[in-house]
This record gives sequence, structure tokens and C-alpha cells, in this order.
Amino acid sequence: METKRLAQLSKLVQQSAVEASQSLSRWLERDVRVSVDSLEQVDLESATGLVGPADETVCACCMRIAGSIQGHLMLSFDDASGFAIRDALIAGQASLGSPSDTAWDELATSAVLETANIVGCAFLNSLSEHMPRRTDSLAEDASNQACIPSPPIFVRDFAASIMEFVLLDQIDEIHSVLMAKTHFSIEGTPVTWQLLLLPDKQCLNAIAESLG
Amino acid sequence: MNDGSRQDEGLVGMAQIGVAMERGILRTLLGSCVGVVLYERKIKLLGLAHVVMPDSQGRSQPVGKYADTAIPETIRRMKELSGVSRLTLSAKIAGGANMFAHVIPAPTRPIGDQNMAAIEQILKALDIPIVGRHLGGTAGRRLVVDAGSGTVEVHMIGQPTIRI
Repeated sequence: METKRLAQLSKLVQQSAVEASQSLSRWLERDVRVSVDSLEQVDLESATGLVGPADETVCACCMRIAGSIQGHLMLSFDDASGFAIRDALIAGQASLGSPSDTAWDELATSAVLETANIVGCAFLNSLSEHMPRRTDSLAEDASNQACIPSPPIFVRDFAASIMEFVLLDQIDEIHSVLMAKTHFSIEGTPVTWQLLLLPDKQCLNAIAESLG
Repeated sequence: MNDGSRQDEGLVGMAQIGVAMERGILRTLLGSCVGVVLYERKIKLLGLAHVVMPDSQGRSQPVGKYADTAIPETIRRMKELSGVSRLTLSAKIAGGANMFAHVIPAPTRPIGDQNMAAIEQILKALDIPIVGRHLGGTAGRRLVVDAGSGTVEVHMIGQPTIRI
């Protein structure tokens, strides 16, 4: 994607991060900021290391996206940050770095899945809303103008394995991917969550065309 | 010897090939991809390909990405490293998981399944017996392969180590 188009898309992604921040703040009942660090095209080799060193154990909530934006959206975090979400929701504690329990039980998993659902949907709805309308042959179908994420699934696995799972859909024909990388803070304290948007090749082409 | 650009010694990344002899250790992290380990016991010669797709369909690059180009290239590099032109190889394969299997039906046959089928067919055509397998499931794997013994350790988060 050309630099000019990448810059245009970056603005849209920044705007979507603001709306995701608002939704997440309401959900967690505290001030949460989602900031976009970068929007760039990276080669596969670099992409597999984006959520951490290859061998590192990472948690992630992954969604497949269909409609006007296609690809994957993923909220990744370490164990402590995941437990902090649970504690914030269940006990109303702001116990970042000192979780009340360290087991990935149903409660903890549900808490992070719901959080991923809220931040993901807010982000995608905003991005879809601000994206120029599709004008290709698929545009007549209203479902292609909407953005439909699947229910998120929770995984706790090696960082490189998780990235491989989400990248595999789009590496048949291309050797680089577009990635929007973000970071989070809660009431000014940085937390190690990050949101990754990985649009697929077909979607990338459509976005590039629609941006003119 | 690892053709990757990472500084991480012995790590064979996605679509890459590694070869090692004697006391060398290679490792790779797998999700839906399949790791193909080739071993020549007599001279303790090891090759590891991290296969991403089943068929190159005539594309020549990246050579380590496709089963039909990665396996011959691994053998070529093993010959180059050892200086031995006739190798008696055996194979072990692992990987091919599908994280989304239980929640989202795949529109086509999962890529992990296609990779496994292509690799088995290619190894059969090359008369290389498969002496160990650890395939499928929904979780990632870390393979650690020792050139000295040919042992493949399969690590999965929260599971005991498996040796194939």
C-alpha cells in the first residue's frame, strides 16, 4: 500500500481507537486509553514476532472479521494483564500487577472474552463507519458494507503459534501483511494489552481503492 | 545453520529451513504450519523445514514456504552441509493445528490438513519413511530437535513434553 493511502488509513484507525477507548472506559468504569502505535506493512518474519518473542506464552482473544473489512482482530496480553481485567470487572479492583487469583478459569476467560468483544466491536464499527463506501461488485449487498466479527475465542499459547494461526488465511499469495498495533493504559498506567488488526489481501486492495 | 534473519540461534521461522550436524539443536514454533524433520542417523545430520502451504503452483520463492519446494531444498542443504551425496533419511512431522476448528467452520479444507497430506505424499514419492507424527489439534507446538539423537521434543503449553 502506498504511503499516502497508509497515512489516510492510519487516521481512520486512530479515530476508531478513540471510540474503542470510550467503550472500554464505560465497560471497565475507569479511564482507559487505546492508542495506535503504528500502522504499517510488515513482512511475515517480523509479523510472527509482533505479540512477543516466539517462545513466550501469550494470551489472546481472536476474532475473524467478515463484511466490509475482512481478516482478523486480536487482543493480546500477558497473564497478569488478563487477570487484571477479571479483577477490575468482578471485584471492582484496580489491581494491576497484583491479581487476586492466577488461574485461567471460566470466570477469567469470560471476562477477557467480553472485554475483547466490546473493544473489538467498538473499534470495527467505527472503522467500518468511517471507511469510504465500497464501490465494487460486492457493494450492492448491504452485508458487505457492514463489518461482522465472529465471537472471540480465547487462546493461551506460544506467541509465534498464535500469530501463525491468524496469519495463515492471508499468506497464500502475499509475503507481507498490514498491521495496526496499539497499546493501552488504564488511568494513566500502561498495561500490556495490544490490539492487532490484520486485514486480508482482498480487503487491503478494497481499502486502497476506496481511499482513492 | 539457519537461513533466517533472526538473531535467535537455532530458531527456524515461518517458511524457513534449518540444517544442523552432530550436536546442533534446531527449534521451531508451529500453529497451522507443519514442521518436517529429516534425519540421517549415521552421520547425525538434521534438516528442519517449517512448511506453510502445500503447493507452490510453480512459484519458486520463498523456497521454504511450500511443501513441494521446501522438502527437496532441505535435502539439498543437508547434502551441502555434510558433503554426502547419498543420504538415507527418515522423517518426523508435527503441527497442522487449527485454532478456530471448534468455533468457525472453515470454508474449505483446513490448510493444516492440506499441508499434512501434501507432505506425506512427497515423502512417499521420495521413499522417505515417516517414523514419527504429532499432528492436528487446536494448540500450537514448539519443536526442539537434536541432531545428535534425532529426537524431536514436542512442547505444548500446559502439557507434558512428548518425544517422537
